Parts: sequence; structure tokens; C-alpha cells
Amino acid sequence: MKKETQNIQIRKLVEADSYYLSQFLMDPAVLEFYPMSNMAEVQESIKIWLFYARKGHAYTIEVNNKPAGMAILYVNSFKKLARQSLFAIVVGDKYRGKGLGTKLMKHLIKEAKDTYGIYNLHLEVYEGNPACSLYKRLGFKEYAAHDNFMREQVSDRKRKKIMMELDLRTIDL
Amino acid sequence: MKSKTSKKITSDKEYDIRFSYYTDEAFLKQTLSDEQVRKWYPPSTDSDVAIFVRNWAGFARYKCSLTATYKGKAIGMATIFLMPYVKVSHLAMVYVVVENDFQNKGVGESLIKNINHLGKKNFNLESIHMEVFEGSAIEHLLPKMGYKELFTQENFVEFPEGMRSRKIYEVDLTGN
Repeated sequence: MKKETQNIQIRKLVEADSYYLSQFLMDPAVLEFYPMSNMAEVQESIKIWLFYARKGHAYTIEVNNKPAGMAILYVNSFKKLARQSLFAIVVGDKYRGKGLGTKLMKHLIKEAKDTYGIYNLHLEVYEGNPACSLYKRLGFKEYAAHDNFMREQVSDRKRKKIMMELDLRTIDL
Repeated sequence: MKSKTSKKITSDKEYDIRFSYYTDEAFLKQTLSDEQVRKWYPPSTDSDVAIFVRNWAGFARYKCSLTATYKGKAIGMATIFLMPYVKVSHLAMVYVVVENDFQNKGVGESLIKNINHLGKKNFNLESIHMEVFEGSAIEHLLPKMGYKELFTQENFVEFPEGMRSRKIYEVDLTGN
């Protein structure tokens, strides 16, 4: 059987992507590891994504012209904080495990280093998030953990927030 | 030239703490226009300050912000930046600022003590955090107020002489 060719491309995130972003973030498997817990909170977070998207700091990876995942660089407009940036990434359920997260991350790292001159690219992830292995593979190192940061509403279980960073001055792209 | 003594003013009858008004934005803007104060906060320029203080003063509407006054004039402010999501609403970051001429007079200590109480009693906060840039004078005050250093992130903030770290301090509010 002939294998279907997939057309994969990365472009800047546009407002029209918010429909897909909303779907990706509302996935229970995603929400488990994000601080948002319902549609109203997800919509609030999307406003922040779009704020950065308007500045060109957010990206969409497409498979066959359909959004499959998104990433945002929280580039700080204040000069003294402009050498560091937090980021976030989400990949749609049916697109996971196909290397799209790695592709998007590599694009994000290149943009952070070459376009924005970021030294310290960092992330916050909640305990148990399977994406941790991707970040470690890309060279991110844990620099701190914050116990009891996020509380599950039903179980009352508290999750630790893990913080990881990558010094972009030390890597060759 | 104004003299800067370290005599405490917090027991002076002219000293008071009240809930912040949205109009305290003007006090924040003026205080952070002083580079000696501003260098310890995120904004780098006056236009950064305008953006930063609009967000800061906006929290006044939730009654999570306190303003210290002396002779009726704002001289300091402490604000809980409430989290927008329920799952993380049991903790919050606090920002504190004291006008340069009123530093080392007990105002910061008084604001921190009162904001901790407000966070615990009115917002059910279990812990409060403060972000401090390496070298800030507030680093000496926080341990005295029960704050513990939670972590340090290197190469976070750019000063003219090079990159500095940021430290996050935390106070646990779950005790009596």
C-alpha cells in the first residue's frame, strides 16, 4: 500500500487558528497538565496567545494545510528582560507521537536564538507531563521545582511545577 | 538635597495603610520613573513603566492591593497579583514598592506584613511569592518577614554590567 505523503509546514500563528487552539487546549489529556480547567479559562489563555501572535511570537505547525500544533514565545518587550523567554507548546491529540512536537520545538529554539537574541529559553511543566522527555532530549535542564503549585479540583491532589531551561548561547543550530 | 535617615515612620500618627485606589497608578508611575527604584523592577523605560503600572494598579479593583500613606500622600504600595485560574488560585505573586525617600523607614516591612494578612484572610492564599533581582535591598528584609528562598534562575535580567539572576522567595501562610 502506498504511504500517504504528508505536507508539513510551520508558519506564524494567526487569529483564525484560535478555533484549533481551543480544541487542543480543551482536550482533557492537555488540561490535566495546564492551569486552566474550563472553557472560560481556556478562552482567557487564548487571549494571551493572540496578544503574542499579533507581535509575531507564536507559531503553528500544519499537516496537509491543517493546524496540528502551536507554540508561543513569551518574548518580553522590556529591554532588561528581553534575553529570557518562557514558552508553551501544544500538539493536537491525533498528531502526537509523530515528531511534530520536536519539529515545532526546533523551530521555536531557532527563532528564539536567531530572531530574538534570547539567551535563556525556559518552560514550566506540571509533574507527570509526558512532554518532559521531549524537553530533556532537546537539552533542557531542570533548574527548580515548586511544590504544591497546581491543585486538582476533584481529587484535591496538588502537583509540583517543574521549571526547565536551555542556555541558547551554548548550542549550535 | 533631601536627607535620608533610617528612622522608622510606621508608628507616626501621620502614617496609614489603606486599600489602593485605581488612581494610585500615578504614584506608581512617579516612583518607578526614578531609576534607582526602577532598576529592581521589570520596566526599563518610562514607556515600559506606563504599561507595567496600568496592569499593577488595575488589581486595586479586586481589593487585593494596599497603599501606605504619610500625611495623606502615597509613599508605598503592595499588591497581590491574583492568579486568573482556579487550579492555581491558592498562591500568588506580590509586588511591593516604596518611594525612594521613604525607604529604610519600616514602610516595606509594614506593607508586607499587612499584605500577607490580607492574602491569607481575604483570598485564602496558602503561599505568597516575591520575585527579586540579584542585589536588591529587599533580599535582606524578606527572611526577617518569614520568606524563604525558593529558587534562583541565572541569567534572567540584564543590567548594564551584565546578566543577573532572579530569586523567588516564598512565605507559607498555612500556619497560625
